[in-house]
Amino acid sequence: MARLAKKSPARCTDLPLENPDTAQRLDVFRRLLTSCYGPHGALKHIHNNIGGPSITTSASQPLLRSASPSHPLLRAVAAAALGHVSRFGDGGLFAAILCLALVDRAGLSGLGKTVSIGINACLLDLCTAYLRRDDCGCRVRLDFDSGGDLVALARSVVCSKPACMLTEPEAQHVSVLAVRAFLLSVPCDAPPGIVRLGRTVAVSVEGPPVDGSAVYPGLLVEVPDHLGPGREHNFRSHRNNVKTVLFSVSLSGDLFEDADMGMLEVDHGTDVESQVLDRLLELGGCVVRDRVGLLVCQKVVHPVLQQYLVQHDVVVMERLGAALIEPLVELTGAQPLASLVTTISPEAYGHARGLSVKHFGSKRMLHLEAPGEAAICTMVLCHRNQTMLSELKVVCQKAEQVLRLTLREPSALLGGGCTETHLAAYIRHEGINKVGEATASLGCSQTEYLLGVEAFSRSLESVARALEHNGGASLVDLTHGHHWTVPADMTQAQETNAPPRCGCGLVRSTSVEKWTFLNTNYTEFCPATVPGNTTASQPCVLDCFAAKINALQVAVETANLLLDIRYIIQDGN
Amino acid sequence: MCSSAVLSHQPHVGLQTVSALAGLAGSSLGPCKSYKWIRGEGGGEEEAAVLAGSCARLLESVEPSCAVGQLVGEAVGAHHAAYGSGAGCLLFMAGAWARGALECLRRGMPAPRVVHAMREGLDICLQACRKHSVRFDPGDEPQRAAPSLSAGAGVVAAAGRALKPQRGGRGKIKLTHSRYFCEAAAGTAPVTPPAPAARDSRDIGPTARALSHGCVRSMELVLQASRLQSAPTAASASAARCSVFDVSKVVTCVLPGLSEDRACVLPGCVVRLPAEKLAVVQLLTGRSLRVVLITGDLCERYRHLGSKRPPGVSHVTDRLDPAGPSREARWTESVLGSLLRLGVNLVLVSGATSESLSPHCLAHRILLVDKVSASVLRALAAATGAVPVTYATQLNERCVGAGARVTPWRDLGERRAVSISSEANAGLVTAVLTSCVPAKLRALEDEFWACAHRLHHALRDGAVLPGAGLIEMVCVHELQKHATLPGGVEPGGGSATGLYRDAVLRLMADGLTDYVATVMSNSGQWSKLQAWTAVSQKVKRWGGLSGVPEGETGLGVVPVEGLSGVPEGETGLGVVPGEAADSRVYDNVSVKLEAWRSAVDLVLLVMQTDAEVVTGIDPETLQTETDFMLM
Repeated sequence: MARLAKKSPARCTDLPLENPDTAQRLDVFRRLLTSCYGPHGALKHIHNNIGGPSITTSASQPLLRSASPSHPLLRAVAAAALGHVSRFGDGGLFAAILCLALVDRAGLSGLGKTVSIGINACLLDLCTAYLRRDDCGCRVRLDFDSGGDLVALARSVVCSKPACMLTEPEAQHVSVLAVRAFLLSVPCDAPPGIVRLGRTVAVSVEGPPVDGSAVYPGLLVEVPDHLGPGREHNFRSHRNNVKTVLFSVSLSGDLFEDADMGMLEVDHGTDVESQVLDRLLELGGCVVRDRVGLLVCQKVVHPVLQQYLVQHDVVVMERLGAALIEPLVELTGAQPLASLVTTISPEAYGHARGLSVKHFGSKRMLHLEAPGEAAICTMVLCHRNQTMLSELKVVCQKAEQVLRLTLREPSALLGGGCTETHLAAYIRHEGINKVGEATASLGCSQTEYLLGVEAFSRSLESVARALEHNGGASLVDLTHGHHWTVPADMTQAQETNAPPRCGCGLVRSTSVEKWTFLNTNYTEFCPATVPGNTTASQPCVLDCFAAKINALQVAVETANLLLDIRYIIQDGN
Repeated sequence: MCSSAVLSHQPHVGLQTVSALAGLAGSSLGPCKSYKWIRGEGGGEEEAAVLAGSCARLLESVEPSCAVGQLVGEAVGAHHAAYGSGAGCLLFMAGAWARGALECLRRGMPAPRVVHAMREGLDICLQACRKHSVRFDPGDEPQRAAPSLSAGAGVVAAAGRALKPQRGGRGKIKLTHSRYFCEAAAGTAPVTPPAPAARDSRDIGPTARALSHGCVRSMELVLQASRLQSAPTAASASAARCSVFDVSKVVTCVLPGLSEDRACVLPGCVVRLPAEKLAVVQLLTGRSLRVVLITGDLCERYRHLGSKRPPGVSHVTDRLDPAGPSREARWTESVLGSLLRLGVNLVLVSGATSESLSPHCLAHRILLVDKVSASVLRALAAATGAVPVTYATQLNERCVGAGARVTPWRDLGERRAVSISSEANAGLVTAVLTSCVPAKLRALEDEFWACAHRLHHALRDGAVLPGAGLIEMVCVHELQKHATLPGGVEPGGGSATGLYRDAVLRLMADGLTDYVATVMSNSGQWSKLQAWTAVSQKVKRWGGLSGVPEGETGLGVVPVEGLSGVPEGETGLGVVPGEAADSRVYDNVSVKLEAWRSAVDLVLLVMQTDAEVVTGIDPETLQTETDFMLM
C-alpha cells in the first residue's frame, strides 16, 4: 500500500535581520564567541543531547566545528570563520566577532543596507591599504636574525587559550618548541625559487608534565604495548642506515580488502587462507633476502609473517594508519607498496638513518631519523589531562601555521587589541579628512558616510574590548591609538593611573599624556607611529599579519553578505 | 531539525556540580570507610548488587552524564589508572576547592586572579610536601631522614627509632581498630611474622603497615606477596630486579564461600580447573614442564585481530563423498601433532580453547589452561623463554619455554585450584581473596589492589609523606602563613590583588582542613564540627609555638602524637607517646601530589567555563525550558 506523506511548504523569512528571533540568536552567538576571546576568555563545554563525549575549549576551530548553530545566518558566519582558520590557523574568533559586530552596528546606525555595504567595503580597502603601507603604525617587521620575534609570535598564540592551563615557564617552553619545530621544517639546501616546507607531526602523551614535551628531527611512531619484551632486543640490533620497506596494503592475509566482493567458489579441500599466507611468506622471504631492517605496514601484518620477520631481525611496525604513511614516505624515500607483490623492485626501498626507542610516560616510541635533509620533525606534547592536552595540540598547530605564514610576509601586527584601536583611530581620521572623495565615489551623503565610519570603528573597537572579561575598563590613548586595559579592582582606586604598558607592550604609560574610555566619543586624531629606535621596548604580543588581514576581509565580506540577505527560504521536509 | 543551545550558568553551576559529585567521596575517605551498595538494573545475578568501597569504583558505577561529570570522571579515571589509589582524595579535594572557588566568585573576584592564586597555593602545598617527605631506602624503614630534610622529619624518625623495640610485644594491639580483624583471628592469620633470621635489610613491613590506612588485612597479604615476589630462588640471580614491588605480576583470585581469614598469598598464578584435568595435573606435578603461550583463542575459527573474514567462499567438489575429515578435525590433528612433536606439557591460552581439542590433549597428558591474563603470559614468557604466538601452527622449537611448573593447591567443589609457576622466579604471585559474602568480594579486591599500589608507589618514590592528615595540616599551616606574608605580586594586577591572593590561599587551606575533618569524622568518634575545631586549633598552636622563622621544629614534635591520634579515633589527639611508633601512618608522595594537582586542574577548568553548548536538541521540546538559548 502506497502512502503519501504530505509535504510541508518551504518557510520564507522576510528581512531576517529585522526578525526579533534572528536578532536574539545573533546576539547569543556573538556573546558566546565574545566570551571566548583572548587569553582570559571563558571556556565552553560542548556535548550532545544524548550524553556523548564532551569537549571543553575556547578555540574557534573545535568550538565552531562541534557546536554548529542551526540558524542559516549563523551557519554562514561559522562557515566563513572555519574556512579562514583552516587556511590561516589564527584569527577565527576575530573574524566571527568582527562580522557580528559590523552587522549589529549597521543595524544600530540606521543606515540603509546598501549604503552600509558600500561604506564597509570602502573602509576595508582603506584598512588593508594602510596595513600594507610602510609607515603603518601597527605593523612591525620581523627580525629573523634572532629567534626573539618568532618566539613572541608563537607565544601570543600559545597563551591565547586558557584551557591549555600553562604556567609562564611552560608557555615559554612550548613557544620555543613551536619555533624549533618550525625551523626544523624549513629545508636547509632548497634550490632558489620554490621552497617546499617540511612537516611537523604532533604526538600527544597524556600524563607527564608539560616540561616533558620535546621536538625531535625525524619521526616518532608509537610502539604498541602488546609487543613483548623480546622486541626490545629486536630494536636494539638496528643502529644505523636501516633499509626500509613500506606497505600501504594490508598484510593480514585477507583475501580481499573490501568485503563486498561477492561469492568465491573454490575446489573442495583447497585452503585459501594458507595459500594467501604462503604468498605473504614468499614476500617475507624477499624482504629478508634484500636485507631489509624495518618493515612498516599501514594496516595489519599477519602474526605468522611477523614471527618470520622478527626471527630474521626485521623490525615490524604495523597499524600505523594512513596519516603517518605520507610523512614516512618523505622521511625514508620509500615507495609505499599497495599490492601483494612477490618481488620488490629496488627503487621501492627507502632508508632511515637510525632506529631507537624512546619512552614518554607510559608510551614507547620508535624514533626514525631521516637519512638526508628531509625536513620532518615530531613534536611530542605532554600534558596532565586529556582536555588540556587536546587544546594544547590545537594551539601548537595554530602556532605552526602562523610561523609558516611569516615566510610569505615577514611582518606581524601588534596584538593585545592595539591594532584594532589604532586602525579605528586611523579610519576616523581618514574618514573625516577625505569625506569629500568618498561620498562622491559612493554616492551617499556626508552624514551617512560619517555614520558608517563610526559604525565600522566602533565594531573594530568592540573586538578590542572583547579581550577584557572581568569588568575592567578598556582605554585608548590619544597619541598612538593603542589599547590599554585597567583591571576592575583598580578603576575606582587609581582612576588617573593607566597601567604601565599598553596591550601589546610597545608603548609605556610615561610616553602618553591622555587616555579616554573606548566606548566614549573622542575627537579624531591621527595616530602616531611609535618611533622604533628611541624606545627600547619591544612589543611582546604579536599577531600574524597574513591571518589578521585575511580575517578582516572575511569579516567585512561576510557581514556585507549578511546585510544583503533579503529572504531566507527553508525547506522543512 | 537539530539545533544547538547554550545553557548559561548564573551561579556557577559547574562548580556546584563538582562539589555535589565530590559528596560521593566523603564517606570513602580514611581508614573508616562506609561501603555503598550499587544495584544494577536488570543485571545478571552476580552483578545484581555489589558493595563499593572505593571512590573510583563508585564513580565508575554512577557514570555521570553531564559535561562536568564527564570531566570529573575523566580526571578520576585517569588518576586511578595511573596510581591505583587516591581517587577519593582527588575527588574530595576537587569538591572542597570547588566550594572555595565558588566563594571567590561570590565575592566578585575576577577569574584570572583566582586561577593565579590557586596555582600559587598548589605550589606552596607541593613545596611543603617535598620538604616534609620522609625518604627511605627500599629496604629500610622510613626512619632516616635525608640530610636535606628539616629537623621536623628527623624528630618523627627519632621517635620511631626509639620506640622500635616495643613492637614485638604489641603486635596485636594495633590491629584492633580494623573492623575486619579481631583478636582471635590475629593468631590464625596466614601471615606469620617473619622470623628474625629472614628479616634482612629489606624489611618493608613497618612501612607497608603504615601505608595500610586501615586495611590491615589486605596490606598483610600485599606484604606477603611482595616478599614472595622478591624471594630469591636458586635459578634467579636477578632478584634485585624485584626491589620495586611489581604490581603487574600480581593476580587476584576470588573464592566466594570461604571465610575471610582463609585469604592467603601463593606463588605463581592460581587458576581454577575443572576436575577432569586434575589427573593430568597430578601427573605433571613436580616436573619441569615445556610450555607454550598462545595469545587469542585456540580454536580453528579464530583469526588474528584485524583480519577480515572472506565474505563468501563456497567449496565445490565433483565427488559425491564430501565426508572425509572436517576442517575442525584436521586442524585438531595438526595442532595436537605439533604439540606432541615439540614435547609440550602445558599450553596457556589467553582466550578460549576449542571444545574438541581438550579431550585429545588430556589423553596425551597435555594440560590446557584457558583465559590466562596477558600479564601472566608476559611474566611466564620472560621467565621460561617461551615466545607467545597467535596460532598453534606457528609453533616451533624456539617458541617453547622450559621450566614451568604446576602444583595442585586445593579442592573447591567441582573445580580445583592449581598454581602455575616457573623454576626461575617469574615474580608471579596470586592473592586468594575469600569472603562468605559474595557481594563483598569486589570491595575486598579493590582494597587489596589499593594497598598493592600504595606499596608499589612508596617503593618507587623512595619516600613517603607523614599521613593521618598531618601533611594536610602542614599545608594548611603553610598556606595560612603565606596568606599573611606579602607574596609575589602579579604583574599588571591592581591594588586588590594581594587581598584576593590571601583570600584564595585561606579558602584552599579550608579545603584541606575539611579533608582532615572529614577523615576524622568518618571514624565516628568525632562530629565534623569537633574535628574541624581540633584541626584548626592544632594548626594554630604550631603557629604560636614556632613563629615564622623556624616553624619546622614545632611541627615536628606535634606530629608524633598527631600521627596516631587522628585516624585511629580511639586514642584521640592526646595519645600516650609510647604507642606512637606502631601506629604511624604514611601517605604516598606522588599519588597525593598528583591527586591535588589534578583536583586543582579540574576546578580551574570548570571555573573558567561559563557556558555549556548542547548540540542536537529538537527545538520543539525546548519550548518549556527557559534555561536554554537557541542558536
